[in-house]
Amino acid sequence: MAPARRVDGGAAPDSAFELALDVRSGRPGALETMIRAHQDALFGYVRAILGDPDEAEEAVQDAFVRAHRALTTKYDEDRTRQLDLRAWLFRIARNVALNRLRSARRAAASALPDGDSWHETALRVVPDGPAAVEARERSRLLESALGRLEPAERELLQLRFIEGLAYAEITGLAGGTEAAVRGKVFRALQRLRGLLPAEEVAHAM
Amino acid sequence: MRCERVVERLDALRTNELPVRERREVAEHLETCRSCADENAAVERLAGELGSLQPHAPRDLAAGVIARSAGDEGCGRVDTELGPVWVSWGAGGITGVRIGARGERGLREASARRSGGRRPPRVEVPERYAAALREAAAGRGAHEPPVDLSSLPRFVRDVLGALSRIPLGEVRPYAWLAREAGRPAAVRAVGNALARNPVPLLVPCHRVVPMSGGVGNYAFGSRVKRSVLEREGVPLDDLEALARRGVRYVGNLSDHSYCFPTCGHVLHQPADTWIPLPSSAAAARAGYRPCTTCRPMEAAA
Repeated sequence: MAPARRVDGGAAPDSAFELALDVRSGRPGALETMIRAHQDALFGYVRAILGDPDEAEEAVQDAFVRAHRALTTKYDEDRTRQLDLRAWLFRIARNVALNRLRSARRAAASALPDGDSWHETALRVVPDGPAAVEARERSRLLESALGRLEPAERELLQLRFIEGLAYAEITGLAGGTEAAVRGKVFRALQRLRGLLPAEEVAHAM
Repeated sequence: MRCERVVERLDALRTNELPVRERREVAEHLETCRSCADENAAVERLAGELGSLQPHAPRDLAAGVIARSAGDEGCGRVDTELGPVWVSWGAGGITGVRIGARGERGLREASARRSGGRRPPRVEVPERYAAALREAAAGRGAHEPPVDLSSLPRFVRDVLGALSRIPLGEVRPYAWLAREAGRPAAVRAVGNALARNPVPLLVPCHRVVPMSGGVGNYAFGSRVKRSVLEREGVPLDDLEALARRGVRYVGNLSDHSYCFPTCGHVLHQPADTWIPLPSSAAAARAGYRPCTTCRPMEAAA
């Protein structure tokens, strides 16, 4: 099995702060470059927290607007230079998403994230093609099972397996020790397997 | 190392994230423990499958962020037949409309929320924006309104976009809009999306009314909604009389199609050319098919 990979095609670490500096100084195209480099990872992550793709779309927009505002009004050059851009964006997105989750829970009218939204997104992202039918069905089952996990479990699995973050990166974002996070990830995986159809589990064993 | 401790480390072993000593212990355990080796295979398979679920942000997300970050260029007041209307705009067009003399505060707050804290200056409204608002408030509608909706989620944009298919002088129920927006089951979510219309009057959310009669909710009060609809020529009194009698559709005697009561297709015909119908099921039973202009709801198969 290949090591965890980065799915966002993000800028290499040593050029990240230069990109942040460019965004800060308002260089044309820099904001768009930053958004395109990180939007998929942030979207997947925020969707895992919120459950709903429409909510996630807005939350990711909010996160980028905040990041842009912070870089252009609050961060001096030195501070921008020291920024771990990717980790910083994830933290902003996490705060935005958790705030939304809290206000959604406060609002009595808001329903819990529903499993169907996950299906729709799954169908959008699985490629078409003759061999894709089985993969599509499997992805649909996985997305559906993910949709039924607790938000905290879903967030962990998203960070670990879909965004491909290392355990050290996850602790930097969500807190806790690496050992504790490993335990939580394992238990979330077990729960996920329990939610998948029995024959699929048998096949996996 | 015991099995419970081993299984928790399998995923970190897979990506080489364990300290050297633990890595060796786990690897040794796997050579002798069949159930942990099976568990390892299962973790690897699930990790691979999860990894193939690549998330894709909506394609136009960047455009929305860029428009929002630039902030609005200004906001100002337009005097219309409905009274004062406040409007904000950015480089891409009108971003916000509030009806009423006290609309300025809410408008500026919404603008600041969108841009991450930037408040638009109060300046004179460009004439083409003022003209579009005066026309819409006078009940003459807004053809290709100069609005910028790029900061809204796709679902809200789909819902607002479908509103443009309700002609001036006509109304449609929420379920119709849900179907036209591609989410027939999400009637309630469609209602919420309508409530979030940042540019009322220009994007005609006022043309959606409850099937059971009355004009329904409006962010600026049902009195304003009623007033706009009357200016657009909607025969509200007639509609309410029909709703009270349980009439939802009208059947066209000449071509055997059935329509929403405000559909231009029937509205301009003499009163003796159509019959009232209580439901789409009743219409289907009586041999009527849905009008292709107003696309009424169809009876469930």
